Amino acid sequence: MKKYGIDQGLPRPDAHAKVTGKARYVNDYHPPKMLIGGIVGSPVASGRIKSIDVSEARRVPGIHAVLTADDLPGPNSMGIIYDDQPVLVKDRVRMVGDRLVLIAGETREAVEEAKRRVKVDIEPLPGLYDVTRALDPDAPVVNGDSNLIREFKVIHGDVESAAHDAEITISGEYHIGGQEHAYLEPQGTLAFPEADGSWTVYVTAQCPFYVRAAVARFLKLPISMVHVVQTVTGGGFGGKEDYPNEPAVCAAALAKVTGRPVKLIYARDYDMQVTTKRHPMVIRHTLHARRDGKVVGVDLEILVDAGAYAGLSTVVAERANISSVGPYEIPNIRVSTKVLYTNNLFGGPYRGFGAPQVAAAHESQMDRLASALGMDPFEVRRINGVSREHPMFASGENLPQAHIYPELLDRLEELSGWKQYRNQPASSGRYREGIGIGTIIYGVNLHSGGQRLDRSAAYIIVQQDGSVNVAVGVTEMGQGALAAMRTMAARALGISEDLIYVTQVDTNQVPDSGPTVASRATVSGGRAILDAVSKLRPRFLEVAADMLGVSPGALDLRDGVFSTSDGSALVSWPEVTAEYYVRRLNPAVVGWFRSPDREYDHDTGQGRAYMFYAFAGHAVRVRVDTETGKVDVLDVTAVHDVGRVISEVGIEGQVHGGVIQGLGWALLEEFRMKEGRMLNAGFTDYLIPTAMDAPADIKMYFIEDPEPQGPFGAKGIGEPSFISVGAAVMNAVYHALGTEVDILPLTPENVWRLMNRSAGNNAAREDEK
Amino acid sequence: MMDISFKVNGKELHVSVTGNESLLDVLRKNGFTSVKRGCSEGECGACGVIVDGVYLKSCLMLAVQAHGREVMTVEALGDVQEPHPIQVAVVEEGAVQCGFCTPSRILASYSLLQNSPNPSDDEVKEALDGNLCRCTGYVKQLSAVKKAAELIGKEGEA
Ligand code: FES
Ligand code: FES
Repeated sequence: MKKYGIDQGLPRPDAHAKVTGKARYVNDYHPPKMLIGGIVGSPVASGRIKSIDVSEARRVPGIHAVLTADDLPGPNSMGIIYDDQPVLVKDRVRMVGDRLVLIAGETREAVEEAKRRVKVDIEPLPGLYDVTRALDPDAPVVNGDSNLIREFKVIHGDVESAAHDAEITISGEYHIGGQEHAYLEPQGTLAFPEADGSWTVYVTAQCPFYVRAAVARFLKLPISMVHVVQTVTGGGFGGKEDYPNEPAVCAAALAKVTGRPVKLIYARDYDMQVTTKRHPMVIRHTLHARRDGKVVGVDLEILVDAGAYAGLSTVVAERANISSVGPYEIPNIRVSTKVLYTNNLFGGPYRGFGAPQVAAAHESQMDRLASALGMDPFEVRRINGVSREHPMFASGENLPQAHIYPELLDRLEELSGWKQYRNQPASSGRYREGIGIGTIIYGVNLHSGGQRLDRSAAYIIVQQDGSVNVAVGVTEMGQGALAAMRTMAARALGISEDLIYVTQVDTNQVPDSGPTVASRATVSGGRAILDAVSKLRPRFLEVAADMLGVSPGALDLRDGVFSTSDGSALVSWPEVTAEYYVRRLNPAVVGWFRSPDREYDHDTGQGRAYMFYAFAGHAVRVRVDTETGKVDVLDVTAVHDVGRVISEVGIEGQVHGGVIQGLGWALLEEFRMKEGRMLNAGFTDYLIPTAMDAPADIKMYFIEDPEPQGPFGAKGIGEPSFISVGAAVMNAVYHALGTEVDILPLTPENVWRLMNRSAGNNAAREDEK
Repeated sequence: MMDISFKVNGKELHVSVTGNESLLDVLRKNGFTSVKRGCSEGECGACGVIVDGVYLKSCLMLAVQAHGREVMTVEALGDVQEPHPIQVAVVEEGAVQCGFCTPSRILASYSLLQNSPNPSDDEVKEALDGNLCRCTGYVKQLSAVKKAAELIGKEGEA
């Protein structure tokens, strides 16, 4: 039985095309005369190019273009915020896979052959592979004049005096690993010049407007001449936010030189090596508290390993910075978040935007405090968590939603069977069971630092027959945005969902709507739809009223019928839309949403950081095999503050997907690195969860406390579904073993190290370098 | 180059292939784009097809090995107007998100249900173990296979 949701329960609009294999992803397009693109990347992470010889590659039959930095038909720069990244490297190589040469040819085989014939001579230079050494005076400088890209801070109260007054201090240094998005569809793009001088770009992407800006800039064209079509997108999770700009510009360069359509699809191993990743972070967290459990201060240093180029790392770090304190009201706070260049993998957006890493630390610290004081983890969270009485977030804002957090704790405690499992007598045999929780606060939509992008459009056209076209600027990447938009448009208009047709993003159809990130699709797309409908609906009510001879104020449109409250006058939606066209009235409208302007002080992290907030919590039960170090997950409980559920099936799918991806990050997924090279690039060695890893039970509960700024009260779920999973796993293992856990992922090897360290062998950290 | 011929979804296909082209390469080149390329290494499972009744990963099979055999892709199973019960179940259970893993997973499920019309939970997990999915967390995919088994069972009775 359906418990949640305002939808009609229809299948999602793209479901049939997908199950029949008809949905077209970017690699499924083959325009006539299309060429295949390829990239030659650097084999080393740090070095100086002595020579690149492409003469033999040019001679391979079927090859139409071989481009080095000297042959590019546009500016050789590609950074999205900082101008620190070339399209093709000319002298200094900074990461494995750094682009050196672009190739276009008739077939994949020809392109592969040409790639093999490119001769590169690179003189290796010392590289920087340890983020904790990035600011050492003798560390190699990776990019620009310093490895420090930017520092973010939170300064609130006086942490020094809190340290002085504290009765107990808990310190930890957390080494939190990165993660590969592992979207099943690799990066890809298809670019071609049109006869009229405009350009079309097909791309698998979350942010087609970013791609448009990058391609227009490279081709030196007005934005209006670049038409970006988002093809059916096979997963994103943040990995298709800024990164698609890179293949798109490369394909455009090759298409410009050859005058033909060029399709560039990444091979999986290259995709894993070079595309953006969840940032590995080192988090030094010190917490000062009183013996009654009250935390009086936190002092944090966060080192964010950005890799060789800034990309969107600063945006991720800005969210990590303010999220690092957690859902607690703490009077004295000092946070320093440093975004650092290294020659490691390229860091970027990934589901949660840095929040999962910092949650791993703040939630572990809370559990250590609880254990030091002999308290229950829920109790320390109740003492310190935000609430109606204590509504203050780290940014100094008093949160109108603060009362939801205590409710979330109650629900999580109850639904997870906490009391029963937590108080089980500790086992001492080979297998040890434990239960742990993680809770978070999440700012929905963009941080105030990115608020200039926080706007969104919906274009609605009502057709003669009563069907409706809706075009929005937020993207469907698998998460169900099209279905959510359809439901909201239908509900707002008062007609059936099957009359609504929502299209994927096409930059010629809607104004720039910012990125589809930060769980903002539902909120910003939905608000734009509501704005459009609020303009359209009265026009149709007026015509209906005129047809019925009543006043428009007396009419309502519901379930496709216009009627007065006593039901006496009736006319159907299609009758009215037909008449509307006969009267030659304007049937289209653009709806708009912009988030409220927010004041925020970047030097102290104080002000209004986000439009509004959501809470989430996970409880995870594990069984640890103390002989092998293997951690098995017994069950997972997820409680989410979602405002309002739009679709039950949709939200369940997001929660399942977020939980399993979170468990993958926490337990399996590890970069095995050697001098900047990912030794396990490819699904053979980078293991993600399979069907066998799905836990037997994922229990979930949704708190529906409508958010006044959300459409129909909804808040968004994409990222919270992931964020606290890792933290909960760490605390569950801590409970099971009684050993402090300060590392992710908890692979068998790492669990082993933790156990040995607690047994007095302190070699743990050393041998990991 | 070698000339080979094999059947795809009941229709004869005559093609020239090189010795190292995979069945995946050849199917995609000839318009069978429901067969997806997620890795080319036999690890993601997006390229699954059924060859002479056996489900396998087409990136691991040389095209020449398909000579004289019968290949089935999801296009043969059902279409939007007349979906196969497995497709119906996947849609109804909400087991599809980005959809990139979907066509081959449906074929893996088909192959399972051919051999084991009422599979246990473990059998389903094992059968789908080679089909990676990054979106759904597998939960609804597993229930979709159970539901499909039910639907097919009912069809059989009718
Ligand atoms: S493409 Fe064949 S298994 Fe991935
Ligand atoms: S639905 Fe996206 S990979 Fe399975």
